[in-house]
Amino acid sequence: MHTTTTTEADRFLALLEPIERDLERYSRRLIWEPQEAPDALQNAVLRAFAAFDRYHEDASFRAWMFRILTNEVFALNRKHARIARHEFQLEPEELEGLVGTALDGEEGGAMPTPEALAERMEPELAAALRTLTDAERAVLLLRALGDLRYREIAVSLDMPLGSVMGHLARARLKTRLALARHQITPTSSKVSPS
Amino acid sequence: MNCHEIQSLAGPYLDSELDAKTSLAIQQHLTACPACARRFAAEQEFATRLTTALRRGEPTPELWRGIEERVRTAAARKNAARAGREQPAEPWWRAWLWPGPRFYAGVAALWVVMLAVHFGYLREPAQVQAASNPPSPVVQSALAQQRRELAEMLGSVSAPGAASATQPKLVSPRSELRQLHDQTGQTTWLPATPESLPV
Repeated sequence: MHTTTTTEADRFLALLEPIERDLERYSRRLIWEPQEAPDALQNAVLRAFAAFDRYHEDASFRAWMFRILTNEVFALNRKHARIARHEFQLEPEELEGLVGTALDGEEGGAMPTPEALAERMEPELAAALRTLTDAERAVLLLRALGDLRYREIAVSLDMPLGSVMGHLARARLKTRLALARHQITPTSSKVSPS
Repeated sequence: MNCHEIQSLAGPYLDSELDAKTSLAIQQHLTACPACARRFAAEQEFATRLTTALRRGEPTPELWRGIEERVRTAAARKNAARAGREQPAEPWWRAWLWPGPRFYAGVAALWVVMLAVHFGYLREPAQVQAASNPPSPVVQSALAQQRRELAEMLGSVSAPGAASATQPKLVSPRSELRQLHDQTGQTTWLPATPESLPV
């Protein structure tokens, strides 16, 4: 019996090991309070292990783990009730009008370089993520860090496929605008932080 | 598809989420439309850079060591709980051969009860009851009647003129003394003569 349980823990940890790095990054990017990320991660892993009996081999362990972690982080974010205060409010019409500006950013010199994004713009990136709603941020991160398909994201977040596509498009656009905001001249941009 | 429709599908196209037919239509459009092709290229570049930026940061080994330790502790607890639930049942014949301490404790308790009943409950309470409770009026009346009859009978036997030589002498079971209980329950020893018997 001991051997069986040891095998179960070993099997769980073996499945967990390849995605540890992505899970940690995801929790740090998704959570409002960065110092709570380790707690969220630990709670999610223990919760997943407790429910490991119900995990089916044919399902994606990666998607299953990201779903549990998302729920854990959302619960912590709700507890602090800080989401609405930090959101970057934009009406749908404003977003539509900004599409051209955002996509033409490279021509206007607003496109951040990879080095800038990777090294210099870390605080700006964190601030940009804060302009997103919880759902937008989760969809964006599940796609970028979790490498999940749209359908897996829909299952993980319990939302329709169309909503995933809509949230992802808005998240990318708002992130791009928030990152480029300081480089866009007032006359060339319609962005106005609320 | 026109440029606006193509632009709205940029994300799913770059994420390889579209079906083959739609993807082919977009490819053909991008080949023919430099403006859309440029926007798609910019979109893809931004997505790549964003992903690179988001993936920055090394994992924390000590955090994962602690998590692994907690998982193993949880596994041990799970193991203990399962062992408690799934303990194999003892064979029936072993219970007959070796009944166990509970059986012997029960037998000892039964013996104690039996001894208590034998020495304490049946004997002592009967004596105590006889000594403390005087006979009821009905019993007392019956005893008095019996004594009177016995006295009369003894008196007729010892009367003058009787052929005492031919009559056999009546012998009381306790010819010398009789034990009587008075109202207080004290034992009184009296000579078995008719005169001394209380009426």
